[in-house]
Amino acid sequence: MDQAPRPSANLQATLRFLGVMLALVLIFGACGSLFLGAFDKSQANSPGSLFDPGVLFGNVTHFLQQTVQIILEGKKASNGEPYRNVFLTGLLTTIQFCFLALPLALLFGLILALMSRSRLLILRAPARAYVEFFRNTPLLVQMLAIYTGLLFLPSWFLNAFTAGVATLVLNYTAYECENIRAGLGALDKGQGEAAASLGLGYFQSLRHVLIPQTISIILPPVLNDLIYMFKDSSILSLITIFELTTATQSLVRRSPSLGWEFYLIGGSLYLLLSLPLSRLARSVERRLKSVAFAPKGDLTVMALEVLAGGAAIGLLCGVLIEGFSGAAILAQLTQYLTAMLLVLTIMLFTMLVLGAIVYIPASLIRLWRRRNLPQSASGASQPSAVVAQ
Amino acid sequence: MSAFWNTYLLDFPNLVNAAILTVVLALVAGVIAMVIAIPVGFGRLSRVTIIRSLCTTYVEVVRGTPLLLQLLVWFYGVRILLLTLFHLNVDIIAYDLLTSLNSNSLFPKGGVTGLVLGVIGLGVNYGAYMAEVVRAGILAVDQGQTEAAQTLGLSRLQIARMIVLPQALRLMIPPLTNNFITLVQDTAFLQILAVAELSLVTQGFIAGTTNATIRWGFYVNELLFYFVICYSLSLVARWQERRAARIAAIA
Repeated sequence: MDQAPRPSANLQATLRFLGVMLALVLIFGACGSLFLGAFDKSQANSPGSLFDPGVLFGNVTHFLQQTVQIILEGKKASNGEPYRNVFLTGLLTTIQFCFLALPLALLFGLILALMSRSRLLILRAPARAYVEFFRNTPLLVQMLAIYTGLLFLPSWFLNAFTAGVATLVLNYTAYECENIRAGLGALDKGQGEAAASLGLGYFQSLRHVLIPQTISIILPPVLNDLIYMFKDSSILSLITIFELTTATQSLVRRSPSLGWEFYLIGGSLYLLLSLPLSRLARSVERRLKSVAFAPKGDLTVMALEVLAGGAAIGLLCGVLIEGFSGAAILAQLTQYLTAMLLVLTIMLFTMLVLGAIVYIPASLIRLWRRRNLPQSASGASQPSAVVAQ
Repeated sequence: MSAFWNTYLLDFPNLVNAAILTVVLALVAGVIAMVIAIPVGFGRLSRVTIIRSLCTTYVEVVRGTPLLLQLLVWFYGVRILLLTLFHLNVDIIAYDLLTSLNSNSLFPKGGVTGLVLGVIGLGVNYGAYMAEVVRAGILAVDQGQTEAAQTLGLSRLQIARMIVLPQALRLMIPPLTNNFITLVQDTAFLQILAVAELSLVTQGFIAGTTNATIRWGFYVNELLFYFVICYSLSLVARWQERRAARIAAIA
């Protein structure tokens, strides 16, 4: 039984593998070329049936030729701008928005997660109300409400850029809050108690004990959220921000005879970024599960560095779009800070309003319950509450 | 404030109609998505390399590109493609269908191309996400079930239909409900195809006024509608999750 496989069996396996590969190439090639031929035929209105191999071959080569021309030679639009640059600008804008928004969302999400773990109802109620509200309403509607509903604000404070960043941050804060809350909840309760018994304060135990352990738990979902944000940022095209979807669609509008080529390139650019990212997220997840995750150095500081680096990449993309100069850098920074201010304003306002809507009835119910409790029960619950504190 | 209430009460039936249309669109798209998702979910676990790779390609491509871009492709690409290659006009088909039912006065003035293609696009998009849920559900069913069914002499198709799928569906209900919540939210995307769902109808009322009170009244109404639909669904999902956990604890 232990002997090596006979050469004929080996040959058979190789042949089988080759056959499967051949069948794969044939089927994918046939499907792909039919699609590409149909795309080309619908644009060029060329005569002939697609099931005629010669016609199909001609259509497919024409299509591929034009695609390659757009990518390599930078085939030019009527105003002299190469199509390639339009795509690059769009891609950079998409990356810019994602990298500017996600670090902020994580920071605000941490604050909200701590608030929603608090024992005080007055802190917990606004955070929970905020999270449930933003998770249960469409991102698109939130964006339109912010951009067209707040028109009374001055234009330096509310423009397409700040509104776009603010929408992404506000929405993703809710999701990151849930991630971080789940991560903190997954930790052993003894961790916090041990930190307290060592004499660490609330923030010290967070910084040195709880957050470093949470990071390894929340890293995969946060990476997944980055992919989601990368795709969700396409809605910014509705508020006149020139990101990848806008770029693609504007090119399609400008020269409809190349429409499918543009869609193909735009879609592949999205795939080119999101597929490696999802592979990365999966491998990170497997790695964190399999091996004891014990990096050297202070994890909290490392995480802050990564966040700052992400924001810096975002700013850099913005500067690259504008053209590299001191004024561009300054403008980017100011706009980013303005966006932060807008986020804070809207967040505080929503938390105040929604928190009041939730807090007032909740505390009234609590008061009513306490009054209706029998005397002995309330007397018994009083000392235990003191002990718990 | 009274200016707001006057317009709001007048337009409230339209808003409710739009909200109902939103839910109906989500339901239709969800059905299309499930019809795609179950075969694709099984196909991703198939032993046949070709089926597996085709299904994986579909899932990865759809999940890797944004819904907005896909809807634009459906409306500006596929519509033209159908028109030039097959002389297929969705509007004409729908009109003829309604005529044969003696009710073509129901045909909306703006046409139904955006609605039909948009719902198909949503369904195809969510089919990929739900296929992943189906795959995870199938993998979560104990391997012993399949082996026991094999010893009983059931064929592979019978095993999938009678043994694996019923058990997997029970596991899939909470994640499918979560997917359906995002599907309801994503019907807002259909407004770019001029489908008169909740978001577009509200946007129409808002564009007609500069009064900030009226604008925010409509926004609050719209957000509240979405919130009520999605939050009640998320409560259902949570309840189902607890129930599944309880069943798992007993079993």
